Amino acid sequence: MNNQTTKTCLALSGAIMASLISITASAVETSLSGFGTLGYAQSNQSYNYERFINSNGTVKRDSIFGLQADIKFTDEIGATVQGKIAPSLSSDSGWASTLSWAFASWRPANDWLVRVGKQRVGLYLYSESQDVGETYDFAHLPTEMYSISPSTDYVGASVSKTWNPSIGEFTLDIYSGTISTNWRIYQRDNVQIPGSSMQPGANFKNISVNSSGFALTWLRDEDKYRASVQTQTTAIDPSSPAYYSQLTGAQINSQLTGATSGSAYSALPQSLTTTVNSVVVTLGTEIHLPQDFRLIGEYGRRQITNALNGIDTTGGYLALLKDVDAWTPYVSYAQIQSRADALSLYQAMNSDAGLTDLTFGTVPQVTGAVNTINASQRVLADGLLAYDQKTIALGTSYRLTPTQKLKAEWARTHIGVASSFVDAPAGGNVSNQNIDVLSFSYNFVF
Amino acid sequence: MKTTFKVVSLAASLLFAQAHAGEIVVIGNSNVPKMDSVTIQKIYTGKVISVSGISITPVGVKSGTTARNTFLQGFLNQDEEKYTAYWTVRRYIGKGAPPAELSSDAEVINYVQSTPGAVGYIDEADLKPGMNVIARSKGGSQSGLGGVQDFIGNLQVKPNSEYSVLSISAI
Repeated sequence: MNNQTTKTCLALSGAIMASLISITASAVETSLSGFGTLGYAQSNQSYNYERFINSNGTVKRDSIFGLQADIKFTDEIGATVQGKIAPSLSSDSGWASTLSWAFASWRPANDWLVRVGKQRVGLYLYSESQDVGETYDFAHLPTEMYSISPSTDYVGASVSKTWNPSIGEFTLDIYSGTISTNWRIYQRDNVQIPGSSMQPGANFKNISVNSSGFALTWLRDEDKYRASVQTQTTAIDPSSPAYYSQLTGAQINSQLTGATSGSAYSALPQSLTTTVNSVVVTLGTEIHLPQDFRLIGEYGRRQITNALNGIDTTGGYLALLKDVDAWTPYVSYAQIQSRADALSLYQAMNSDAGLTDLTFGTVPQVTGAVNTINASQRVLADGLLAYDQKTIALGTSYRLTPTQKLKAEWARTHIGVASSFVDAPAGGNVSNQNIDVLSFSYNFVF
Repeated sequence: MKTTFKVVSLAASLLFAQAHAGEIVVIGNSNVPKMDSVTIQKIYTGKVISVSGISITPVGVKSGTTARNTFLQGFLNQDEEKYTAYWTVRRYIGKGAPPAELSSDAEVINYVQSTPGAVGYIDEADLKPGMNVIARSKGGSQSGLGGVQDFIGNLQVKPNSEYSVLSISAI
């Protein structure tokens, strides 16, 4: 589905909801609720991590406030609308109010559920409620896992079927839809490359993601298991020039009369595209162990099938939690890594070796372009979105009431080759470094 | 057969031992059929919305009341904290809102009696003649059907088996 289809789908679901409201106004039951997280995080580094965290501290990584209305038109037909205020996804400077959910639901029988409109894919264990910090004990859901997909929201349709055999409850969700969102690419160097739409600092590229897939969830007593497969087609809006299609190796090479291939240029993809096809597979479990221990683990793999890019990643985490009265301390280990050849390409483009390895036919003709070449290589490296990081975290949640939680966490993230979660300083690199982050938050629902 | 008799005897003993505990009863509108505790549990956790073709609308009483706490413990095997946490997650995964909460048993009775498909729970002491009692908590002083079925159910005996038939006749 494209943007036009998205708009049509949203308009259709809006019209359906409006019609239902007008037809059954006298019988409508509405349940209002709200949620919020007031969070603070501070690191020991001067550069930004996860957009906002640095040594000055920020409330912007985790803070979020939302309202939800569950509307019941009949026993079988309802609608859910959820709006939230959170840091903008299209700029680093402001906050934005967005409609996270707006769907109509039809439950023709106890074990069937059909939903149309804007909703969320059950890609991760906590996908659906990831904005509601009160529903889980982690101070921050591991970025290494919860970034595998650019968005878990979509506008489309889903069908759920539930079975209740003696071994528990199985729910199969099948969905298809599209969403328009932004990809954030941080250009660290203060340069403007001719012909490039990339600007120094944070760039927000509009993308359209078509996704289809399924999630199978097995609930056995209090334990939960989930597996999902999703196919995605991610297209960069033609009105927002794609980093894939501009400032290519061919463009750079055109400036190099007589230049022959070097390690960096030869590693560049030969054909560039503004559309990325990918398959995302996730597995997750939450298991209750003796002595009130819980083991939570998730694994995610996003495979790009038609391009070489850093977002071709493997990620996951494993966490051990223990419930002690109102306290739930935990320790977790998380990791995300781009595929090896993407990391190699990143290193080749990011280092000056790309230039020095070039064999120029007529050196004097290209020496004037050396700085431009190096800068453009680094811009390309930034645009590759490479990931190589691991995090160990120690934290706890404290349940104030059944609807309020306090959380605290210390986390050490080790950046290997590079990580696009880091806004590296101009002219520099952030590799083989540790980032310590201290987080506190107050989470509530009402 | 000897084993059968032992099971039935044990069930009957347990039933009579708890017969006067003062328990919670689940009442329904006149169009709502009798149910077992598993179905009640599924209704109050949002997993069942219709029974025998009848759309069910559950209501409860506000948190902190004895009736609610006893109901949660007896039918859902949960406390207030777990029940609230369950519905918080369920609401925010987009699968509906918890049953409406009324302020007293009297309100529950009025709502249930005037709303087709409605079910609610009240203290047994508030029962009045003519009310449609559709289920009782496991230890309640009901006719014995539900309690014994629950007990036998825990032994994983199939409904309508020899045990069930004998247990009914034994009460």
